[in-house]
Formats: sequence, structure tokens, C-alpha cells
Amino acid sequence: MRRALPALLGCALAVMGSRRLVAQDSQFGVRGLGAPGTFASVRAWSTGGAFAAFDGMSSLTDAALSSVTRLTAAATSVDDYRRVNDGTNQSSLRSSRFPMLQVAGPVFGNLVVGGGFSTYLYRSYRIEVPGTIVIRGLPENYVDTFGSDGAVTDLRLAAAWSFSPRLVVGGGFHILTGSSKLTANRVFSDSSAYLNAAQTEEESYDGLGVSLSVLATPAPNLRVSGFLRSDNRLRAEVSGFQSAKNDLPTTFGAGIQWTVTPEVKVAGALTHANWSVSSASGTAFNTTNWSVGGEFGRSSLPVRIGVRGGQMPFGPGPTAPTQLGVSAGTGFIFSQGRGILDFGIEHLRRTGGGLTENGWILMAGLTVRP
Amino acid sequence: MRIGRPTLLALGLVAAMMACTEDATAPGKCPTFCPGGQLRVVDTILNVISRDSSYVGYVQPDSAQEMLAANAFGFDSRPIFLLGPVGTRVLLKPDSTGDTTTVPYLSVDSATLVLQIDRRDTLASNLTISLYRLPKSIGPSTTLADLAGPFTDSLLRTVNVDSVLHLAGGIDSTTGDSVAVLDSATGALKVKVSLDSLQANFLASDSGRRAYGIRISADSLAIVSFASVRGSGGPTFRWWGTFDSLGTKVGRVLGISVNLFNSFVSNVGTPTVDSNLVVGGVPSARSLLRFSIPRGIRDSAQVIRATLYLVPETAPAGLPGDSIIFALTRVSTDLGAKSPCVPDPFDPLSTSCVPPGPGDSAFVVEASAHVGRADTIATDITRIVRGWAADTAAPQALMLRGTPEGGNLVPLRLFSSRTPAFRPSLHITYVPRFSFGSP
Repeated sequence: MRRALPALLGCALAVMGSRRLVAQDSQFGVRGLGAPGTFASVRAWSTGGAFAAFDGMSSLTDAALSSVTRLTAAATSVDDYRRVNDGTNQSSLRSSRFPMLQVAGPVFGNLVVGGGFSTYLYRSYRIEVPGTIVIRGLPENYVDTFGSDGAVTDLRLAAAWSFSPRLVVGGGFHILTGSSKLTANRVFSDSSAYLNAAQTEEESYDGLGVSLSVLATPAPNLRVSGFLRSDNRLRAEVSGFQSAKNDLPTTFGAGIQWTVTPEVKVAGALTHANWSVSSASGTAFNTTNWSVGGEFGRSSLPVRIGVRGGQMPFGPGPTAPTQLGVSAGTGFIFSQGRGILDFGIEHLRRTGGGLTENGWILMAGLTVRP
Repeated sequence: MRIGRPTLLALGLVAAMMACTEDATAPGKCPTFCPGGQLRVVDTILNVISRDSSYVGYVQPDSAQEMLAANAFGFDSRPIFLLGPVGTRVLLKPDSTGDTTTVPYLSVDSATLVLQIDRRDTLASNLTISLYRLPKSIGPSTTLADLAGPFTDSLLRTVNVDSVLHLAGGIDSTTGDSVAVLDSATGALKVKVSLDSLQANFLASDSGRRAYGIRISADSLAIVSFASVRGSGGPTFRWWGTFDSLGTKVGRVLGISVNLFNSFVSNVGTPTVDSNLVVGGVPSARSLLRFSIPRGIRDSAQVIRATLYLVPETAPAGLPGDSIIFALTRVSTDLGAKSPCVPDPFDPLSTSCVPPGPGDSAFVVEASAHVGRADTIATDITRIVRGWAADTAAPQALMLRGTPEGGNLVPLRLFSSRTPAFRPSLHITYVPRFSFGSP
């Protein structure tokens, strides 16, 4: 197995290197700021996100870093296959992304420091809009294509301090950065009469955020977590000029995890974010999302299942779009525990404003503890 | 649990295959599921041409690609050419490396003149070529009036091109003349005129140096363009002689005369330049159009179509049904009359301009004006305008020149910006800059 580790790392790098760091996550993010990320590792995502508040390799809470007992690095790779139905058109979409990389490890005493990046908002999409316009007295058919290829990325530096075996407090500093390649094209059917118009710009983002969390163990088999995160605003620049500035939400939530037996763990979490402070075009809604999941079996080959649901922050209708996901997954420990390979799958359904998204998300994660 | 290396490789391969798929294009349901903003199209006619000027004297008749012959509609134009001397000795077996001894001619028996007709009206029946001997003193300053005498009393041969063309094989076995079609689309012909020894009249004293003139006639529409040396090849004149080959008389080509000078003389005067624009004619005239496209359009918008409108001052004269072709070429530097056009990118060291043709419409486009009609000339210059947007340092100017230059007796006259009602204008359709970034 020791000899297999380099091959495994090579495979992982090939996977990560072959894809762009962006993806289209949801049509519900086209009109607003984007589709929020999950901040969950593959392990936590496979449980519907319910374990994210207790997973050191998820970036949802900082206090969870306390579960990292030695230097650990984890990367996540995701592919999604979605079917979008707006009542008139139906299309199949595929995308790949590399939404998270985290590194953490104990520094001294009870302090664990970690950091990395995760996707804060997905801003990748490509929309085709056909139309007809009368130019020079004649109708001309055209197809407009609007695209965005990029994301807002959350760079996090966090620390967790264990005051006692029963109480951990964590805090983090977040830099929101990233960029999107924006395109707008018009292609005329009669290309001999009218040349195509194509415009490309680079849009960059910046913002700041802080997070606080607490992880308590009131009973030997019970852990509870509370977390709060506040981001100031998202500023967008195109060609060096500010094009938009939107307030970002304050997010808070709580989670509970019960270790029934060493081979049965269940958890649940609730998160709320006041996205309505955003002045983004379209309608922004406050969101409340929940998740319930469990991990069963030996740690070397567990079975994970989970359910999550709630709302999406941006949508056209009077109410927020809703989402419901059912997930499952497993993982393999190898190389005497120095490496973990996690796999997961989730079926996700999102509805709102007359549009329905159904899709499968395939996840792969690699955790290395050298 | 142990996982074998092959298993890991297989997992990695599957993951890599999954990673290679991306299809993010979806039909938009606007405006609810589309990004804000819309692409707009603006269509407008701009009077952005100013300081337009005409200049004359670029291509003289003796440097034109065509030798124009006309005998209709009041035009009288006659090609003239001067042939150089030939040697008096030849190799009887020039292809043999062992034959190094030259032999003098015994007699000069005949000569053949080959002419190429590039352009003609196929409806011109009984098109006839008359060949005259001219004085060897002809040159660039020779006028039609100077040659009135020789064109009256020095006729050598007359060939009815139509008659010979319709003979079997296009060959007149009696005279030795022949006519062959070079290009059925353009009507280009190759005409061979045979001269006997008397008509050829080889004089040893000047080694066959000769000057000839051509006059054409037809039942109607007698306007023809002969290829010149600067075009696809000037007249080819071969002297045929008899030689002694070890006591046997054999016939050989004595020599092929070099074209020392070819031109044409006509009763059409030099184009006059006034407040309007002139293109073409002989000596040829060019017009320079200077554009001042608003920076908001040139730099920020995307031009999807640009049409240049030019209004003829008068209907162009010439063959009915024919057209006057002219090229609109970008200039690399605006130096007025001496503005050089953009060089040929495939031959940057040459002084020639980009030739009109497919794929180079970013530098040069062709336009045409119908003879006898004063319709507005609409020319698509979209790629040229886009070229100005791509290279904002490039002068926004177009040089209008006849195609081929010196290939039309009568110039095309166009209204200039000094005639507001009929000034050149630019019909431009563009997409203004799309405002991104308002998530």
C-alpha cells in the first residue's frame, strides 16, 4: 500500500488538474450573486452536510478543527449531472469542480490551525437566448449567449482552541476573492450579412468575513456546535472599475451529533443566512437549510447517508426556491490511516419560479495525513 | 482493508473520465433566469467622411496592365508597342548540349504576333484587329494625333477574330492566323497573327526592331483590353527564318522580340479633378476617403455591418452592361496623394498592395459601378472598419483606385463630402458595449 500512495496521489492530481476550478451549480444563481457553496468535505456532504459542523476537513465551522490530531490535507472533487426544466425547455448539463482544499494541524498545546479555500458562490453558467430583430428593414435571427465562468472563493485562516475536552472555541478570518470570465456573444443566422459580436471581460471579486464557533461535548456521546459567520460585502470589478457592490449575509447555525455506538453516528444541523441584505438583481431571500445524516459501520469502510433541504437565496418568484437532497457515500482508509479516499453521491432537486432542477452529484475526496 | 494498486488506478481513471465532461449551456428563460442586461443593436447612417480628395496621374498608359482598344461610343483608343532587336544567329539544336555552333540565317520568311485579349464584349460581332506598322520613335509622349499618318497608310494585316474563332480549331489555314479561347468565363482570347516576309519586313540593319499599332473595329461594342507586359503578358513577336544545316535548309525561330514599350493612345483626355471625386481613367485617378468614426463606436462597440454609400455624379460611360470595377484599400499611412496602401501580407517586401480577393476583406474590397447607371454604390466594408477598431493607430482612410488601374478609359466620378445631399456616407450597424457585472 505504501507503494500505491504515489500512484493514488498522481491520480488525484490528474483528476484535479484536468478540470477547471469552476462549475455551473444552479440556474438559480444566474440572476443573483450565485449559488452558495456547501463548505462540506465529501465525508460531511455524504451525510447531507449534517456532519460538516463536526468535521475538521469541512470549512463550515472553525471549532471542528479540534478533531484534527495531526497534519492533514484534504481535497474535494465534484461532478454534477443536472436536468433543467423551465416548463418550455429541457436541457441536460454537466460540470466539474474542485470546490475545496483544506490543510490543518495542531500547532502547540490545544491549538489547531487550519486554512484553505472553498467555493463561497458558484458563478458559472452559460445561457442561450434566441431572438429576432429587424435591422435595415429585414428580420434577422440571432442567438445571444451569456456566460460566466468562475466563482467567488473563500480563503480561510482559522484556529480552534480546546479549553477543555468538553469545550472548543474556534475563529476564522475569511478573504473572499476570485474572478469570473464573462462573455456575451451574438451570433446571427445570416453570418454573411452580419458579423458576430463577442465581448469578454474579467470580473474580479473581493470581500472579507469573520467566523466564530463553539463545539461542546455535554455528554460523552453527544456533541453540539454553534457557529456564526459575518461577511461584509462582495465588491465586483470589471476592467478595474467597480461594477457592483452587494452586502453579504450573516450566517448562523447549530448542529448536534450523537455517537450512539462507535459504529453508529447520527447528526443534524440547521443554518440560517440573511441573504436578503443583498441588493443583487433578482429577488434575494433569507434562507434556512437543514440536514440530517448518519455514518454507520467500521471507520475503515463506513456507510454514510443523509438528507438536506431548505432554500436557495436567489430566485424570481415571491418565495425562495427550495432544494432537497438525498445523499450517500463511503470511504476507504489506507496506508495505515495516512490516506482516506471518500466517495459520495447525492440526488438534488431544486424548484422555484417555474423551473425545476434535478441532478446527481458525484463526489470524490482525498485526505492525506503524512 | 487493503486496496490494490490496480484498483486505485481504476478509480483514478474513472474519476479522470468523469472530470473531462463539461456542458454548461442551457436555454435561457428570460428575464427570470437570465443575467441582467441585453445586447442591443444600433443601426445608423453617419456622415463621417471628410477631407476626401482626388489625385490624378498614378498609372500612365505605358505602365497600365491593359492596352485599351476602343472604336465605339466616341472613344478611339489604339494599342501601340515597340519591339526590340533579335540576333541573327541561332543554335540549330538548342536542346543538345553538344551543339554549340551558331548558324546565321539564310532568309527571314515570316513572323507571328500573339496578342492576348483579356476583356471584350462577347456580343461584339465581327471584331476585327488591324495591325499597322508604326515609326520606331513611339514613346510615352506619343499621341493619337502623332500617329494619324501611320494609322492611315501603314496597314499590314487585318484579322477578323470572330471569323477565325468559328473556324475548325480556331485556325485559318490560309493565312496561318488562329484564335483560341483562354477563359470562357471572361471571354479572354489568344490571337495569333501571321505575317509573311514582306509584311514582316525584317531589316538586318536594325536587327528586326519594329513598332506596331492596333486598331479594332466591330459591328458594335468595339471595346477590347489587350494584355500588356505589366499585366498578364504583352504582345509576343516571333521571327521565323531559314538556316543551312549541313547543306539542308531548315526552318527555325530566329528570335523572339522583347517588348521595349507598350502603351495605347486615345482621344480621351486626362481626368479632370474638381470638387468631387474621381476614380480610374487614364492616366489613372485615385480618391482618398478619410473617416472619423466616433470613438464610442470605433473603440467600444462592435461593428457587425458597415456599408459605404457612394453616389456617382454621372452614369459611368463605357460598354452597356459592363461595370467599372474599383478597389477600396486601407492605407498604411495617410500621406495624401502618396499614401501607401497596406502591403501584401504574403509579400511584405514588395511595394504592391493587397490584391482584392477572398479572405483579405479586412484590407481591401472591390466595388463596381454599372455603366450607364448612376445608382448609389453600396459596398460592405465591415472588416475594414473592424480593422480600424483593432488597430486604433491605423489611419482611418481608404484609397479608391481602378481595378486594374489604367484599365478604363473613362473615370468614375463620385460626389464628395462637399456635396451635402449626395456625400459619401457610412451605414453602420453595431452592438454597443454590453454592461457586465451587476450580480
